[in-house]
Amino acid sequence: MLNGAWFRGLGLVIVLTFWGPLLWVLAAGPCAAETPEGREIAQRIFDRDVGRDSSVEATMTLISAGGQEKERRFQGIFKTDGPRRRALIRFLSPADIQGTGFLVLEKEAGETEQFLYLPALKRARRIVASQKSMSFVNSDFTYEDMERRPVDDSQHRLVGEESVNGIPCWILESTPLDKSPSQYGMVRTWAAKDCFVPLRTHYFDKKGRHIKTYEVRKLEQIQGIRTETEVLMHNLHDDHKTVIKSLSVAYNTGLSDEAFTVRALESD
Amino acid sequence: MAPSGSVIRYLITIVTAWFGLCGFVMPLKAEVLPYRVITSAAETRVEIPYGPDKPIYRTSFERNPRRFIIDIAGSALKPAEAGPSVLPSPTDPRVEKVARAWDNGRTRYTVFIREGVPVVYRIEENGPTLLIVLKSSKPALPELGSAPLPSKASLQLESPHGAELKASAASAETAPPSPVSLAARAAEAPGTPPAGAGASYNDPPAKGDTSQLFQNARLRGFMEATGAADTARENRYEHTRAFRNRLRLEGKFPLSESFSAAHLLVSGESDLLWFGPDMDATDDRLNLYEGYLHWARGPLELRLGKQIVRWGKTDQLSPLDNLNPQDLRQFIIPTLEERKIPNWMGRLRLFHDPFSLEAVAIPFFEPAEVEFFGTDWALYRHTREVLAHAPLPPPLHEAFSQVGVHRDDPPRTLGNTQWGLRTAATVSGWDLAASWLYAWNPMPFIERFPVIGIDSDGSFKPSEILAGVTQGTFIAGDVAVSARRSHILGVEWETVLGSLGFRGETALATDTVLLTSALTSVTSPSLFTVIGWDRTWDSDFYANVQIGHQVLFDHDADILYFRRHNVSVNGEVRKGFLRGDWEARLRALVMLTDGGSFWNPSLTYLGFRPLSLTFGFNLFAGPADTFLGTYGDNDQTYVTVKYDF
Repeated sequence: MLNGAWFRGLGLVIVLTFWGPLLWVLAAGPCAAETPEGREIAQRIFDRDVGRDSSVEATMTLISAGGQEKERRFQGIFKTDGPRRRALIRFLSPADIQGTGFLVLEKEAGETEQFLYLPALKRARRIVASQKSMSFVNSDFTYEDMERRPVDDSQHRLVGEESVNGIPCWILESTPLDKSPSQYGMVRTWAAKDCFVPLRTHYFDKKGRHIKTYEVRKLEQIQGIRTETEVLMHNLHDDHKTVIKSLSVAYNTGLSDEAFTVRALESD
Repeated sequence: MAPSGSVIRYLITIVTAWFGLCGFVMPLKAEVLPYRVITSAAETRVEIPYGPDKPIYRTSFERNPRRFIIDIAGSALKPAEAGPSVLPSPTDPRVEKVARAWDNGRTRYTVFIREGVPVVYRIEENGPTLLIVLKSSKPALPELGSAPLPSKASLQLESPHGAELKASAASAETAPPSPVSLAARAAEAPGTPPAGAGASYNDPPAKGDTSQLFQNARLRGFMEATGAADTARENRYEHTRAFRNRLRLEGKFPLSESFSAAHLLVSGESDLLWFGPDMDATDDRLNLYEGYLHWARGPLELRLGKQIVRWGKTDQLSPLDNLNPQDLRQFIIPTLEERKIPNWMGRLRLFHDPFSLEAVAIPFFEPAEVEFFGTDWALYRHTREVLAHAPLPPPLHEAFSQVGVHRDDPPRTLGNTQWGLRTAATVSGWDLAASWLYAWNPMPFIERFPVIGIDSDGSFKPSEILAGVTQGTFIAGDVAVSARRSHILGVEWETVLGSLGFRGETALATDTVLLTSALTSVTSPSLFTVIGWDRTWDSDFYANVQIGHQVLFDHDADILYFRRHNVSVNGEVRKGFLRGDWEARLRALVMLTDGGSFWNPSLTYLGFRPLSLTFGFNLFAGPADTFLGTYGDNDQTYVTVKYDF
């Protein structure tokens, strides 16, 4: 019982985890020595090092308010080629979706192609890119949470400094501009001062209500790239949580372009 | 001269290692380091006892030389002497040596791994002791990974720029990070499609070792049981209950470094289908479902054996999807994918981005699974039973009850091989394909029906059957069935237009098999086009609508169910609720030109994945002489339990 909608954006969440959009991965580079401007912080977060390619195996756990857990396991490969990013994700469990694959191909013009492979269908199916505010994989992440939102699509303001679990952070408030609509009215990010890792993010709706909280639970340096290997998204509306844990991550493994084709997707 | 601390540690380590070989473990001196390394034939293990605070640790795999690194920070104890030490590892065949370094409260163990030996690590906790274990296994992914930092969400992170150790055994930090990768594995097997990295998960690590390959086989399957009951009983011959149980087991065995390069797939299926309770009919079979060899090198891909190959782009109604016959014992109640019957064929594909070329050869004719008599879904429904109980002279009773089916299928000769070619390309976001298939039509071609002169309206109601027979003349013999060969030319396309998926296909067939009012068959050239759109909304609502048009160029008034032009709408809508625990779905096929329709509303509970429970209805509507309305007596409600494993 799996449909295309279920997968639309799954690739993006993996991208989120291992390529690091706004929230997840720090920008590599020298640490800031002086107080930066809000936009500069946003740009440093955006310009992160995510490796030329990466491979990952991870679990996604959905936790209901009552504590009931559901787990899915998947593998993914990712590749960055200038402005183009590509991802192929394959589900390993639960058994009813084992083998299901999802291919995301970003084009240079900002266009994204997505393909879904269902083993029962015996063919890959071109599908529509996701709706931004739609929940992906029934989790607490939406497709917009997964996007690499361009820095200039929001107005950024440095509003203060605070330590998160003992780590000094900049507090950045980002308000989406009208030219690039968002489901959120404002996003507040706590980014580590020394390396610009967003360690916590609060999401506010257009009425200013705090609706979701994102937290990095584990951060590791893998092959010189800081990688969030366990993250939590907490939906305050229904107290539902989603935890994504990496089981293994490898960067710069030399993945070829042929690994990101419909043929590869169909080779279940 | 007193021995130095490092020498002491060295000696202790040697003793520890040897005692580990013998099944004993001796810890390093606690005042020097609280950690210990244990090697054995099964594994190499680092034990890290800790006090109130769990130590911060990190692991990684590196190359050149191949090694596994464990960094442990936060030790309050200092060794007698800092600096690297080498710990021999004479017992673990995977490990060449273990090096240890200490600097400013940080300890690094570097486990040097022999080339070509697949290893993985795992983290365990045994009371106040952390265990990092390195052992043989098949890595599901490249063997590069990291152990977690402390599990507390407090993020007791070191400065990322200060995390590297200054002093380290074998200068580990200077080695370029180059993990073993799937791509590297592909490079070891020239020509292997590099798709393996993410596409063929669980790729086996070993090569040439048969036992290892079988250990890395992928097994999966499902069990599905469906019970159905008619919503009403319209006549005495009906089956008002049905039960089907399918159990399928599939094994995929790697024959190379990756599944995508070469593998053997074998699946078997147990399929029990029962209709009843009166005049019950049971079909119980145990079959090889799929069984093929897959081989790929570079742009070439060959697959030989019993398999399913999908052509066409549209859903459920797909005029170009003709390579596999269908199981129609329950008409269209199962989905198209569930109806497919694997058949023996060879398929060769050549990929040259953005084009591909595909050739198929099907040596043996496989007919569609169609019941002719005795079930609610049979071609002639219960005609035989109706006539056997009709007020007819006794000899006719007996004759009708003995009517069978005589098949005259094409002999298995080279000349009867079915051939097909297909080329596909992607142009500006459009996936396009064109195909030609010279195949035997799997639908039965009725050469003769034992009652001549019958004029059926296709409803097969008992009264209509009796009326028809009284108009005709019975001739001794069975229903004679053969097959007709057909050329099918087709084009197909798929793209995305804004928020809509858009796909379609059209097929020009020379010999479409059709049933006539004489209950025999004719053929007609036809052009069948299906165009479809689908969309998903933010609320997890999905809709898929397709319009089909079929024109029969040699249409005759005697043809049942179909007119010269036939227009249909099919598709489905579905919506998930409660984070996917529930799914409501409606799939339908409506023949606009005759008013017949099929509706399948259902509700599925998925909260116990991979177990699912579905409740639904199969409803047929429309005039009794229409393609779908003729099954109007078969409306049913059903429950399906499916377990995937």
